[in-house]
Amino acid sequence: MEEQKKKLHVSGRILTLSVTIVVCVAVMSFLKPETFFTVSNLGSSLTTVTFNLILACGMTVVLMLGCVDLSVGPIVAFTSVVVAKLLQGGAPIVPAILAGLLIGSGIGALNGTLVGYGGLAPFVATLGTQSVFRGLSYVLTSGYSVTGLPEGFSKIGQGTLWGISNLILIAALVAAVLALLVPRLAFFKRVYLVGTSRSVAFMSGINSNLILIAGYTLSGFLAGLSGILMASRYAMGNAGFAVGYETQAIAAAVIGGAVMAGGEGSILGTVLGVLLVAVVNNSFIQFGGNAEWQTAISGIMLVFTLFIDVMRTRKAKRKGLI
Amino acid sequence: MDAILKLEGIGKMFGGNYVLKDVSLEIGRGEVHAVIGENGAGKSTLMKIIGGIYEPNEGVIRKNGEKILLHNAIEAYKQGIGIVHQELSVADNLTIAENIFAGRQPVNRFGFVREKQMCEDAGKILGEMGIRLDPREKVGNLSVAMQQIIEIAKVVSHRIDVLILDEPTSSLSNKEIAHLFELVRRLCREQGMTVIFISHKLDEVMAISDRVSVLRNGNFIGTLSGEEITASRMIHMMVGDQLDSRSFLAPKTPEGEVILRAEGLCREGKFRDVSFALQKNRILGIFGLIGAGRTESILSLIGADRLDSGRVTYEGREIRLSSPKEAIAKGIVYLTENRRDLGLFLPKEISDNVIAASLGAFTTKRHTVDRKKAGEAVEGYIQKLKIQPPVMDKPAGTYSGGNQQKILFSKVLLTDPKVLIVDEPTKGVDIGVKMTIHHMLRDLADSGIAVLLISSELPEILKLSDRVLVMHEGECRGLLENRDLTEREVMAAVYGEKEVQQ
Amino acid sequence: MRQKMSSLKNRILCRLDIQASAVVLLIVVISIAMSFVYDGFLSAYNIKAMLMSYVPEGIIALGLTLVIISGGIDLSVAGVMPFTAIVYCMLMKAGVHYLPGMAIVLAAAAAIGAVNNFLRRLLDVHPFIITMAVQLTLKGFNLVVTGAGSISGLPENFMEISQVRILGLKIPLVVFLLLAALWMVLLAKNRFFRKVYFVGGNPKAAELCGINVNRVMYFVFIQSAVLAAVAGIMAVFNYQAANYSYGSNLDTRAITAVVVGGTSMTRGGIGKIGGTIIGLVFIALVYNSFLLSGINTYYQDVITGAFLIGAVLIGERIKYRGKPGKKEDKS
Repeated sequence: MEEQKKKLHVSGRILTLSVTIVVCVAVMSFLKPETFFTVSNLGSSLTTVTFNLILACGMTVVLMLGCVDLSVGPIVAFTSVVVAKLLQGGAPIVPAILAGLLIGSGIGALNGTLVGYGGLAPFVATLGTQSVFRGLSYVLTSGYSVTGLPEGFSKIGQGTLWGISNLILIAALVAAVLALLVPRLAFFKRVYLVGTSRSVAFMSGINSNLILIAGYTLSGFLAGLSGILMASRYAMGNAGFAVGYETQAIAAAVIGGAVMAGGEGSILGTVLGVLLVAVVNNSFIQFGGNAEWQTAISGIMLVFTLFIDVMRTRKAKRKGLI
Repeated sequence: MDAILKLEGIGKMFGGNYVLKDVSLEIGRGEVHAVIGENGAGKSTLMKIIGGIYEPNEGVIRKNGEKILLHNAIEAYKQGIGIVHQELSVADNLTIAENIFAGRQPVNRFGFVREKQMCEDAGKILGEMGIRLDPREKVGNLSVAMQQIIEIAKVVSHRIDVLILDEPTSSLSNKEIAHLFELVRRLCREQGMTVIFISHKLDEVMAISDRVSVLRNGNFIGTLSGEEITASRMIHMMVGDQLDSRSFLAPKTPEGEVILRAEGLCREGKFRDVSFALQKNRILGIFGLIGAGRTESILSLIGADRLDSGRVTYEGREIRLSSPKEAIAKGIVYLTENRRDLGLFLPKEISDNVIAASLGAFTTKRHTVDRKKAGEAVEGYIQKLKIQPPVMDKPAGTYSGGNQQKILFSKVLLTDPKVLIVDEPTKGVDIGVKMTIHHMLRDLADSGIAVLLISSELPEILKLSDRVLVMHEGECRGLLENRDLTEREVMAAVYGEKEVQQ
Repeated sequence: MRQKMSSLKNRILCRLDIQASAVVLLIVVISIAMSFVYDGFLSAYNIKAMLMSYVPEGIIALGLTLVIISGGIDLSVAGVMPFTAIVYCMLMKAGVHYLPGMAIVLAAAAAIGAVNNFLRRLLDVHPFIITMAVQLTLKGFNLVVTGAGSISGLPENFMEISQVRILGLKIPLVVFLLLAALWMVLLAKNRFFRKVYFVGGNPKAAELCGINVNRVMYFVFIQSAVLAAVAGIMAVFNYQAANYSYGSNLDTRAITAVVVGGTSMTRGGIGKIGGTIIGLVFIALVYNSFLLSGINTYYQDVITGAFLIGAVLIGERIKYRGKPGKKEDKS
């Protein structure tokens, strides 16, 4: 009975989101038939979507914990730079990739420790690490791109499998794995509980600090993965990658059902959130807006999603649930 | 009597329950009037109503014969009533003078605070109250007792003639209490102040009050004046004649060995030298009033809070619990009195709440949650404890108090404890569920569990405890065997009275 | 039960003075060390140059000090600053005189500050996410309007006035020093400014004392945005142009200056402008030393982040005796 209800409960939002996306796509295809519904347009926007998707999944977990991770963009950039440098210096591909994943995870663990054991507010801790690692990325590159990467590596991000871009497949895989694991693993159950109330979780015998570190590490890992994929796709490591990506990730996750207060979040919802944001962004570009508008739109969408968030929380408060 | 304040039929409801009903009493001009009663009697609520923090649902307040309506603290000030709350609200990074004149400092035409003027005025106020402190001193450097004096000075400086003090002496030493009383007497003598205060300390009440009013369960019982004020009479009025509600639930199994022993537990500022022994198959009741340190000592014992010193022996071995997680793993589980903040995940469904403390037991080898096993276990408890409505997926916050408590019990029992510590287990719970819980506790004890019952409800303590540990102000005041123990004897132990007469 | 609370408070107060004093000590030590290595380190020229480069951070940090004391945070300043610079330039190029132009952008900034607080109350979320969203929106606007370039070619009269020096100091520096002095005095002495301390320390108690918490919070956010606008205007004075990339990471640097200077992010109601200035000088000194030593300038952001985390961590350690993360302290 519990599962049935859950499906229904989630379906409500999933349904609305799916319908909204389909409607938007339909409207856009009608208004701009030549430019919108073309393979190249959809293809190129799907590419950026993949990075956002992976990051948004990580952000969903962090939001479930009642926290936030402002450092995901810099982690992407930093990882891309380090991996690119390693490859440029002749390191074999697999160890370089592993190093990238390790770095992302390490930074995530650092974030988690600062928030858990250090007692820092999540936004302060990740504001700090955001600055540090964006800075380190620039230190390592002095602003230049790191190029000269082996073909084998860039093939990963640029290649296709069965006609579909590798990136899309990888992002889809990540989302699918998480979508399956989050509702099932005991670990994520603990994540939801810690996010609902750290004190109640503590009194119930859950090691909140460890869960925080684990959650942030996962977010860092995924950001590292995004960095590797971005380096592969663009055949370079660049300190300027992923600027502003954290806001888009937060917006997507909140649209998908996560709340800033913690304890809620759905991977499937986040996927739809990412798609919706992508459709809105693309629509703007279709109407003559330049890509630069994306940043402004992220901001406005974020405020909008916060409206949704507060409506949800208010409803819960009225029911005496918070 | 020249009554400065008259309360007529005051009633106050919170969430559908009356916390005060038909309270009518008079406060005489210039007197020191104490308001006493057990926990939950409604004293603090009544003070907050007089002080303008709450509005009464029923009844009328009259000052100097005229009806007054108070919507907030500022309006109370305008009517000459000021309240000093139990939780101090001083800004400890600012000076005494700044605290006294918070928000209404004397200013020049640029809006700049006239420091000299402010300090002079503050000095005058302090002087009138006989306080020798430099107004430029930072409040944070002062002791808690002095901070309280400053807060009193702040409130008094609003030109009030009725001063309300909510539990002013709960964190003060004897010397500081004496100092405070001297201040109170001075205010009454020199400024004609009327002082109303809440206290649990009967000896203080006797020392300083002209008259004492007693509340019990939201009702006004009576007022004592002058020579009528004796400890025995006050205790009698606070607890009433409730010989009938005792009906002791006797144990059905023989006493087991000592499973948990605490010796000399101390935490600076919270409790001192707490010791007890807990046997299997028995219920040890810990009785005390607010601030007694019962919950604090248990929280430190299970590792949720710091423990400065003391020894804990469990199953014969000395242990030091570092977190509730460790306690639960060992079989010691604590059911909190604070359901909302520490006990339940309110927005989460029952099943999540019930398995929260036993996730390990419901995790499969593949690290997933064994939904089927969990579902069965939760279903089992829903049936056994008759949780209403009997569904698994409604958020815990939507349940009534009694059912929430049942959910908490399910959670705690699911961990298969050897020691069960329950803190105010029937707070906010209706009579039917209360009975159920009482019987359940005795049954649990009979099944071999050692039960520690913390409660401030004396009837509940006497109904269930095989032994009663009495705590007051962070110390143990006595360990009593429950052989026809009366409420009066327990209260006497709290206050250290040897004999309690009619 | 008695002395515990007061000794803890004592410790916190000592920390305040200790922290500011420690930073001052560090400033002195570093200055002396650097002056040995580099001739002319302590020359008027170098000091002026050091401070000039951190004028925007300085002006913004003044406003942020109040915001953080009140218990909030304002990340929108990193968007307001370039926004005002850009709009100011656009206005002047459109023929508006540089003085009314200032008034217009300052008013616009005040409106943004009001919106920040309005949204914060309406949406009932932590101010960081609100102001972050506003920052992003403004930055997007900046990017679009400037086409990722600069706006220059300002009218003659402005070009003239912007080069004026007072007592040998450029206008932005003078403005900063004046504002710093003004804010320091106001925060220390003005009754309304003092209310920010009460609101930050205990909003409920402040309400009980008759303080209009709502009004105070609107003021706090408005002054923060307005000061960010001043920083933007000063940037135009300095560079005679506006670029969308002004103020990147400015918010983090300014917050770091505030926190290093002793204002507490975790405990409201504690902080001083004097501390912020000390924090600012310290950071400017460290950056400048890095610069002179030939260390990659890109290290600036790294140090900023490290100092931010370090300063807050140290504050937390002293606040929670023993382990943080154990929050049970009630009943």
